[in-house]
Order: sequence, then structure tokens, then C-alpha cells
Amino acid sequence: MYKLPSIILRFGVIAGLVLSLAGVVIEQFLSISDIVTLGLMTIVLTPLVSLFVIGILMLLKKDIYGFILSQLAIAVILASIITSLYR
Amino acid sequence: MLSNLLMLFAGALGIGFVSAIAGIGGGSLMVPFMVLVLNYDVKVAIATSLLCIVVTSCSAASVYLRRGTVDVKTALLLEPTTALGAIVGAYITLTLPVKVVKGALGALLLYVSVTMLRKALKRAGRGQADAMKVKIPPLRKLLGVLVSFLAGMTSGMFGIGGGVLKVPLMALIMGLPIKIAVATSSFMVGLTAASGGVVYLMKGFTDPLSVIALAAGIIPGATLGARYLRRLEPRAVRLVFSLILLYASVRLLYSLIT
Repeated sequence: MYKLPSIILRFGVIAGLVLSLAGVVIEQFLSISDIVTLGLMTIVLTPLVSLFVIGILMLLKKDIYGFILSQLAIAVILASIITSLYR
Repeated sequence: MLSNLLMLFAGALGIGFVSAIAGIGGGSLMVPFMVLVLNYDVKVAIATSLLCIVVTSCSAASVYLRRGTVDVKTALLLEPTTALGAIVGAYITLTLPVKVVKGALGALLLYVSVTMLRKALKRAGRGQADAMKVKIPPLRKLLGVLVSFLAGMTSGMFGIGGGVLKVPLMALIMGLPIKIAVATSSFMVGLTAASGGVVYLMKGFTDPLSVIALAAGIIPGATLGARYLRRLEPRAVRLVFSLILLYASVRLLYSLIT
């Protein structure tokens, strides 16, 4: 049932690491740090995307309680990102 | 610089292996390793550790999810408060003296490790099967939610995944079989570390090169560890886990007097 979230978890962090590594190399030559940040954000957001997919899978199974809990966790983490941006 | 990164990579290989078996993110080993051995700044070590924990637990959790050993319902029940705790913990670390929080964590880990060790040394009781369907009483669920906030706070404060508290929480308080607790903890640890890690990332404490070096070692180590977990007895897992906890607590308490 959770094959897709499992794939997202595995390849999401790998994509984040590759982006970060590419970003570090690019930063050395072009002084652009945005790609490093993008890579690190990809790592941080991977579990959230996986959780979101799990929530959707639960909704498809008509498990509303599970869906609400998953969205609650996502909302808390997104609120933290927004708070960190402005504090 | 390069030698530091190579040492990080070598250390991460070993940390990844044991952390996947014990169901922890490895932060309790990573942070002391970076601070005491490689002289990293504590806050940078915590921030870097949290990002690596996301990588470790995602690698392990992807195996557990595919295998169906994660109790997703319990994870979803505990995760909102855990994530909230991690964010609060991260902000606390940015204000409190490090010695105070280190001492508290050391004492807590010591207590949990002794409790787990005693249980591991006892004969395995009945009901230790790896069945997924475990009926958790409502009061224990409530207690679990409250304790998971503390687990999250500890994660955000000390740069650990919080698995050191989540596995005992699920095994001892909620009554989940240890293998299920370890797999569920691995899944939750990624989310918790991401919640705390994002605060440090936004504040600019994360060192990308160290994250890459650690993760490059941790991924193969954790994958190997996750595969070994299937072949191990719950008692053996519990024993390894409690010994790791004991080691971490001694290191933390020792760092206070030196």
C-alpha cells in the first residue's frame, strides 16, 4: 500500500543530496548559494511530501481520521517554516 | 578540511549501521562525535545532525514502509505533537545554556537505557510477536501523545531524532512489539528531525558539506542496518539499543565535568 511514499522517501533525499552537492560546486565558481538551499530544503521537505501522499492514500481508503492527522502534522511543520522566515 | 570530511564519512558509516538497527536517527552519536572529535560548534553540529537524521531515517523508513512494518496509524497519532515539540525545542536551544540541556538529556538517557537494559536481560515474555494489530487503550494513547511532545522537544533541542524516546514510548507505554516500534520510530524520526532542522536551516546554522559527507556514509550504513534488523531477535535489538543509549548518556554526562 505504501510503495509510493517509500519511493518518495528514498529518492527525495538522494535528489536533495545531489542538488546540495551540485550547489556547493556551483557556489565555488559562480557564488550562487540558492541551489545549496534548494537541495537542503528538498531533504527537509521529502518526509512531508511522503506524509502528504500517505494522507491521500488514507483518504482514498476513506480513513478520514488518518487523513486529518497527517494534514495536521504537515500544517505544524509548514507553520514552523513560515515562523522561521519572519522571526 | 578534507580530513575532517573524510573522518565524518568514516564515522557516519558506523553510526548509520547501529542507528538503523536501534531505530534511532544517530544524532545521539553524531553530535558528540562532531563536537568532541572534530571540534564543530555545538549549534552547527545540532543543525547538521538533524538534516542527516532526515536522510538516515528516510532511507531506513523507505525499507520499513515497503515491508509493511510501520504502524502508520500510531505514527500519525503521535507526529503532530512531536513536530510541534521539535520546533519549540529548537527555539529553546537558541536561548538556553547548553550545559543545562546537556545535563538533563544525559540523565534522561541514563534512566531510559537502564530501563531498556533490564527489560532486555529478562526472559522474553509472551505477546512479543510482530503482529501489526495492537489494541492501544485510550489512556495510553493520550500519555503517548503527551510524551511524544517531549520526545520532539528533545529532538529539536539536542539534534537527535528522538528515537531514543519514541522506541521506549511505543514499546513500554503503548505496548507495541519492539520491531514495529523501531520501524515506526524510523518513519517518525524523519518528520521530527525535519521539523526541528528547518528552524536551524532558516537561521543559517546548517553546514551543507558536512551534511553531504555524513549522509554519504550514513545511507549505506543505515541500509545495511535495516536489512540486519529483520534477522535479529527483539531481545537482541533491545539490548543493542539500551547499550547505545547507555554509551550516549555517559558521554553526555562526562562532557559536563570536563
